[in-house]
Order: sequence, then C-alpha cells, then structure tokens
Amino acid sequence: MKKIISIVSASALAVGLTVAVTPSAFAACGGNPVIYFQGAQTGAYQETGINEANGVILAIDKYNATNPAVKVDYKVIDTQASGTQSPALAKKVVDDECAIGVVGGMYSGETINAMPIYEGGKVPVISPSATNPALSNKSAYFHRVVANDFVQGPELAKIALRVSKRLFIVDDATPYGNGLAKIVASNAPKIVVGSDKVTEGTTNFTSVVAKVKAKKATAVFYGGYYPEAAIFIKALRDNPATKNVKFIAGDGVLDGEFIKLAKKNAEGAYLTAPGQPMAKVAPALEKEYKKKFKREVGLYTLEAYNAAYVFLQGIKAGKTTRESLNTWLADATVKAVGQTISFSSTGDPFKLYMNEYTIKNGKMVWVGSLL
Amino acid sequence: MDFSILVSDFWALTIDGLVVGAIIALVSLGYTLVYGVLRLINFAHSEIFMIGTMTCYWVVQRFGFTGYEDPLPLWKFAGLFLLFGFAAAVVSGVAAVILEIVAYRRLRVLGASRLSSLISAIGASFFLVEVFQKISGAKNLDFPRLISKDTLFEFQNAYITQDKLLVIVGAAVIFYILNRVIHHTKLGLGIRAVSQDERASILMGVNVNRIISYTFLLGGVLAGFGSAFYMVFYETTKANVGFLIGISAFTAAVLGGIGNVKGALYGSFALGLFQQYTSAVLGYNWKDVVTFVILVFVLLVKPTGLFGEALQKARV
Repeated sequence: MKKIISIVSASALAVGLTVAVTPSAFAACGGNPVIYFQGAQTGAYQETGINEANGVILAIDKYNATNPAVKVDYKVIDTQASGTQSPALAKKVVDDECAIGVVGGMYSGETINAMPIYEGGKVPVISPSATNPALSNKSAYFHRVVANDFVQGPELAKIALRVSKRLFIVDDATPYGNGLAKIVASNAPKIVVGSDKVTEGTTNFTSVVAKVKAKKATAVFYGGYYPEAAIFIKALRDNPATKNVKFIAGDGVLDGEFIKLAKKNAEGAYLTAPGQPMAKVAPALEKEYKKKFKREVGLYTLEAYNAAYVFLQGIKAGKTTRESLNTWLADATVKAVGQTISFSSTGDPFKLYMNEYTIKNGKMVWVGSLL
Repeated sequence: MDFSILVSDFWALTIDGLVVGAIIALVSLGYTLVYGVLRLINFAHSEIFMIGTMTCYWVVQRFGFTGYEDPLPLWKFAGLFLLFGFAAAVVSGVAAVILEIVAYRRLRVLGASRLSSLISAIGASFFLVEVFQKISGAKNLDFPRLISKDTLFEFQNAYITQDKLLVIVGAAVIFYILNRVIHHTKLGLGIRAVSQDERASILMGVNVNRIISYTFLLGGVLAGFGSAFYMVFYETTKANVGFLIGISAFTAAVLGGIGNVKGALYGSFALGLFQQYTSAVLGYNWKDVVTFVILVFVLLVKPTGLFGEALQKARV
C-alpha cells in the first residue's frame, strides 16, 4: 500500500513538475503566456504609445521566430495615458490568467494608479518610460529600464544654468510634469524668476506668455507632454518679446509628434531623455523596425523592446508564472540591445543613461550623453 | 498673488481676453438662444462647435498645406477664410438641426420631461465626441499658419496682430447681424414670440417646430463662425475641443442670464477678461476655480444671472 502511495505521489509530483515547466502551465488560460503593453494607443498621446507598443511586438515576434519551447502572445490595454482609466484596465490584465507580465505604463500617472492593482494580482511590471521618482520602491512588482526624474531633473537644471540666467518654469500639474518641474526648480533656485501651472488640454497660453515676458525670462522650462508643449512654444515664438526665449523640456516633450505639431517653432529646443538614441546604439534593430512597421522609431521604442526582451529571457529560463518571473527579475542581469539591464531593490535600473537632444531641420537630433 | 503682471501687461491681457471672450460669445449665444425657445440646455452644443473646427481643418487640408509655408497674402487668406468660415457655419448649422430632430424633437412630441431631453443632450454629446475620436484618431490636429501673426502695432505693451483684430472685428460684425436678425426679421420675431409664450405663438399661427429648427440652425451657424475664428487664433483642434470652451460658454450664458442674448454677450466678454486677469494674478490653474466661485456667487445673489432670463427683451 505504502508503495502504491509513493508511486502515486511520485507520479503526481512528476505531473506537477511538468505542469510547472511546460506550456501546459497555461492550461488554465488555454494558450500561451501573454505579455501586455500598457499605454496610449489612441488619444493625444498615442504617438509615444504606438512607438513603444511596436517595440514590444518586435521583441515578441523575434522571440517566437526562434521556435522556443514556450511561445508568447501579445496584448495591449489602451489607457490613453490616463491615470483614471488605467486601474480598471489593469484589473483586466490581472483577471487574464494568461497574463504573465506588463510592459508599461507609458507615463508616470497611469503607472502610479495601476500599480496597486498589478501588485494585488502579482503581475510583474517593467516600464519603458515612466520616470516619476514616486514609483521607486513603490512595489516589489514594479521595475523600469530608464533612469528616473531625480536623474533627469538635475541634468535639465544644468542645461538651464548653461543657457540662461533667468528661468521661468511652467508645468502641467501631472505627477510627471509637476514632479520634474519641482526638481528642476530646486536644482537651479538662483535663476528661477517665476512659475505657472497649466492643465492638460490647455490651448490658451497667452497669459503664461505674458508672465514670461513680464519676468524678462530668457529661458522657459516646461514640465509636461508634447501636445501642450507644442502649443506653448508656438505662443512663445509668436510674441515678439518672447520669441527668442530658450525652450527646455524633458522626455515628455521629446516625440516626433512635437515636431509635427510645433513645426519650425520646435527648432533649437533643449530636450533630455533617459531613452537612448536608437540609430546610434541599435542601428540594425532600427532598420528592422522600419522595415516591419513602415514608420520611424520613436523615443522609447528601444526601451520598450528591451523591457519585453527582459521578460522573454525570463520565460526562456522557464519562469512561466507571474510569481517566479518576478522573483527572477530581482536578480537577473540581462544583456539587452545597447543596454545591460538589472534592477535594484527599488525597481530602478542599476545602469543609468541620460541624453540631450535637440530639434534640427525638423528632426530629433542626439546632442550627447549627459552622464 | 502677483499683481505686477496685471499692471505691467494690462492691455495685453485685455486684448487677449477680448479675443477669447468673442469666441466664447459665439458659442454661448447658441446655448442661450436654444434655452430661450425650448427651456433646454443643449449640452451637445459644444460638439456642434467641435464639428465646425473639424470642418475648417478638413477644408484647409484639401489645399495641401504642410504647415511649413509662409503665411498667405491677405487677399488669399481672406478668400480661404470666407471659404472655410462659411463651410464651418453651414456644416455646424446643419448638424445642429439634425441634432434637434434626432435627439430632441421626438421627446418633445411625446411630451417627455425636461430631464429626458437633458439626458438625451448629454448622450448626443458623448456620441459625437466618440465618433469624431474615431474619425480623427483622437489626436491634436494642427491647423496651418494662414495669416501672419507679426505685430501690426504696439499699444501700451500689447502687441496687436491681424488674427486678433480679425476675431474681434469679425465677431462684432456677426453680433450686429444677429441683432438685425432677432429684431428686424420675421424669424427673429418668431424666436422672440416662442420664447415669450409658446402656446400663444401657436395660436397666432407661428410654426413652432420650424422656429425651433431655425433657432438651432442659427446657434449652429454662430458656433461655426466661432470655430473658424478659434482655428485661426489657436491653430489646433481635437475631438474633445468643445468640452472646455463649452463649459466656458455655458458659464458665460448663465452668468449673463441664460436665455438672454445680451447677457450671453456680456457674460462671455466678462468671462474672457476675467480668466486672463485671474491667470495673471493667481496662476493659470486658478482661473477656473475663481470663475466658478463667481458663478456660484452670482447665482446665489441673483439666480437669473446678471441680466435676467429674457430673450424677448434682448438687445445685442
């Protein structure tokens, strides 16, 4: 009898082990594990979101093309970059038994609001572009592949100190924009001559421009995203008194859509981003991307690709449950494209990058590395 | 609180406030006219404005502007402006009439409560925003620079540009024409009669349904012209562009006394100026807070608004 029991338990153990290491672990979901992308696919901020989502798709397609033991599917939740929409959509991910990890959120606000839901569902998250410092140490399930605004802010302040003696600060009252503006202000207190706050969706910047003019500012820092930044820089250039004011902004503004919306007004803007210039560090991948999607890469396409790549390496190593994948992330060192990624206990990457960009002849141009 | 900018740039803020006020007024009149005849807040009116901005955008797109061209010479601009301005007015006007037929008329015929119409209005508003989000990809649509924004002359620290003059003068001409329509035409007489007493108007042989349709048409046309000015001044639109301006226009109408044309006009200019001054003194993000505090205060002290609800006594 004892023998029978031990045979039965041995078989059960064997079945259990098989279940744990083969695709049948996803029998409950009836398919392959799914990597989700969280970000905007429609709405004013969709350009950045589509550029990132395509990076994730490229990584997954390349991985599946190698015929791995466990193939991976891709799904997307379109938050329109909104922090009010992201929690409900995150719940959908948690409820999807196939969901194994999330690349995202794209922006800080939507990520901050979605994290408690992901944590509840034990879903590991790797953001390619959320830079708000409030996300550091927020959850054991949160990771990001980019440096946060405690790194970006002081670098922006250095640029402001380099190009101006009178800085006016404007932000859009979002966690990202306001957070970055505060860090810039605290790192260049002597040159700040005034500040103002707008809201997302603002089209009327005339009173803000009047203030920039009245304060005789020679540079403006804008903490926010490209749709409003494009309107703001246009309004600055239209006013004879502020048309030569230098425009400084962070990664929320650095997007092809900023150039499309602001046109020649965008020229010469001082912009930074923790994202790497893909043409420089991953030219072959850039070419592949352009061929596949018939469009230019965006800022954070590479970071989104790499975030997905990290997950895929974990899955390749047999980590096919949310919990095991998350545990694996804590100690993993992954040699991704143009970047070696490993996470500190706060979820931030150990190796940090910060780059300066500008707009020249209608194109985003890499100026140099700031770190 | 910083009054120095209000003092040093008072006239710059005032000119911009008048421009903003003129655009708000053109939208606000639609709310007030419809309320006058139907006692209904047409919450989908902000989307009629949005449809106007989209029309301007699509008409101008047909000409293949990339946005990198130099502004047009004045005569060319005038021709193009008249083209997209009238196109927006026609499309917005027709859209407003269709809205009335689809969303309100049936409810009115069935004798449904005002609340049903209000819900129908909000539903129509959401519907239109969502449809245009799908059509436009929900992005900011950039309108090309058609008119030079170089300073024509400087006045007390304020830069006067052609686009600002166009909005202020153009809106003034439209207000004058509206005044003539309301007070010197049969249509105007009909609108005033229905707003005064619907039942008596029917007894006097007024075709109420037709008057209501014309009122929506008039409101839509005004919003259409407003949208053309908006596009020249702001050079951008998106599917939910009507939301903020709709709130401002509705607030202005209530501030002046909803149903009162004169009230909507003064309310709009007061709001436009007030928002600019508040932004300068307290900060941009305070302007809506203070605006609504004043609105609540006015309604508490004088619930009918500054000029009272009386379309029939209206003077533009």
